[in-house]
Amino acid sequence: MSKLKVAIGPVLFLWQKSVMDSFYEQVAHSSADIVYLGESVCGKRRLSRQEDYLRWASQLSEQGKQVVCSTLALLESPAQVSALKKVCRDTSLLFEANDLAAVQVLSELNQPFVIGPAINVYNGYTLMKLAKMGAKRWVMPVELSQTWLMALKAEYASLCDLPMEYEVFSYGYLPLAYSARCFTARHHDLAKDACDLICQSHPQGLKTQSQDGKALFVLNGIQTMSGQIYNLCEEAAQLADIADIARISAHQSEDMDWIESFSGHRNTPRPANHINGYWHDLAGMASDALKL
Amino acid sequence: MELLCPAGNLPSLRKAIEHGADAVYIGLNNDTNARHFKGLNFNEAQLREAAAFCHQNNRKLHVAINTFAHPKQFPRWKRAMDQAIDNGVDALIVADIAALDYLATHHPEQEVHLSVQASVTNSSAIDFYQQQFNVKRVVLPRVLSIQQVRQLARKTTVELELFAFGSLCIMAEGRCYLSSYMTGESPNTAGVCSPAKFVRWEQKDKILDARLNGVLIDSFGPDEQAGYPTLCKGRFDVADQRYHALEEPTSLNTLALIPELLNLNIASVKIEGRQRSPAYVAQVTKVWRQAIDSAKRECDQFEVQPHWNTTLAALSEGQQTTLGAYHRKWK
Repeated sequence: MSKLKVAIGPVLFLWQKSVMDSFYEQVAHSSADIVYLGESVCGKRRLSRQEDYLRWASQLSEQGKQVVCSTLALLESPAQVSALKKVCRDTSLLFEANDLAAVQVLSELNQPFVIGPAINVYNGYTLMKLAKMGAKRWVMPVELSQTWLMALKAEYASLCDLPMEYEVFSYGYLPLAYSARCFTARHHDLAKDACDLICQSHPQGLKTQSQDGKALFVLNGIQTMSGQIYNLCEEAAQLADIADIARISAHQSEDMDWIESFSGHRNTPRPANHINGYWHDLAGMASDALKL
Repeated sequence: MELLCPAGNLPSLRKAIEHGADAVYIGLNNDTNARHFKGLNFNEAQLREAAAFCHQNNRKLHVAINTFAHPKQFPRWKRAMDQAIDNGVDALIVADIAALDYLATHHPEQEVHLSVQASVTNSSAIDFYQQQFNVKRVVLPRVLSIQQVRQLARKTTVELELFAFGSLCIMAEGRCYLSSYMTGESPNTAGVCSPAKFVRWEQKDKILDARLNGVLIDSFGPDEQAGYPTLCKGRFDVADQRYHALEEPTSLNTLALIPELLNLNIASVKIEGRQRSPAYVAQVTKVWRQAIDSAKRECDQFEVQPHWNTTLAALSEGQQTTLGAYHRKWK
């Protein structure tokens, strides 16, 4: 068993810059090994600018963290593509591609990259193709399971000897879907074009429940997330056996407390309202104890 | 501009062609296609018959092999592609990079269209699929506005295909796991969304509840029309409001955009609905054939005929239609 590294995923919510400042201050002094930085959800969000991200990147690097720059998952306009091309020119940074556009841009620049969880890699052939184009690490789509990961790794190993790191989304609200529509603006009866960045008033998203009170989703701008927190804390030892990195996707600074349970491979009891269905080949909203 | 119509079986395919489809798209009856519904789709003998019927009528047949191969099961996807090619289909609609790579390497002459499940929304992603796999056409997800489609059409040399009518998927297709979140089965992994085997209807007094894997998607009063519990079209509680938090049950209808789509040189307009009846396919195809022909004759004078909209609205989810994301205000 090798040591399981812990990554802090990109902040998926729109937080004020002062909140981001203190969050990354705390991350810098945590035992996380890797930190993903950057806006991956909505191209309109601009409370933190490129220079802010670069500043946090250098603070985190100074503390020995590997910094990865996350890119947008849904690029819809030429301006967004131009911005992507511009940022990817910085050869001192490692990027996480969350759309094939980023794979295209980074491979043209001969830059290595991480395949983010919003890219459709479901088999070893696809991973091999992307490895040949420069992928060094793969973050598995959140809907896949432990058995899928093991089968995919075996298939990849039979096809290709390029090194690959395996990262698993292990804690946080799961990013489940991306839309043209901003559901947060819709909730406030605002047009997306005049949204006033209303999602900043929901720093942990908008909770959505069924009419009989079951937590279903968290609305986060154009992104729909799981209604409950996905948490593989009871599977940390298994994870360490088959993956290299566990990703924590924080919605509050207290989530940093989970780092130790993953890095220490300590199977920690899972809070009753946290879920782990996907890992066990169940519906994502299920948990293995309940078998919904 | 091609009119591309859906068929879940041979009777629908014949209706589509009789009523003016230029091409028909189908899937095989297994999980290699993203509309893997019980009792629907084509076995090999039916595929052969479909290709023969299309070609006798000088129309084209497209086959969707557009789910993502599971690890160690690629031979099943390969067999599906080989079967379609052996039967002389005109185009394969593919999403998985593994499948695209196989076609580019082993069948470089085969016309390949990039499925909407590949979720391509920008010029760099198009470049990726064009350069790596020589795809001839890209089917765009229903998330772009008409302005964004216009910008893409100007920039790319690839053919563009757009969804024109039918159920409205509001997420970037191929990147939506809501169905597996609730049921364990998604379009990417199982070729299904909100699968019927998880649907349960419960009548209590005058209230009809629609559940998906036990989750209450909507609750209908006696005066309301109950719709299929597609999970993104339910009524949920957000803060203190109860409403269709993601989308109303409504259908996409882009008849009004036909002149613009002709001007943009869009290669194909696609009608959604492989799961619908032959009668549905016949009626929708007929309206769209008339509308496209009318716009081609007099693009500047084109007007949507009221009876076209009446026919289409009657066939739509909740009898409502929308321009969807093509119209910026929808977002």
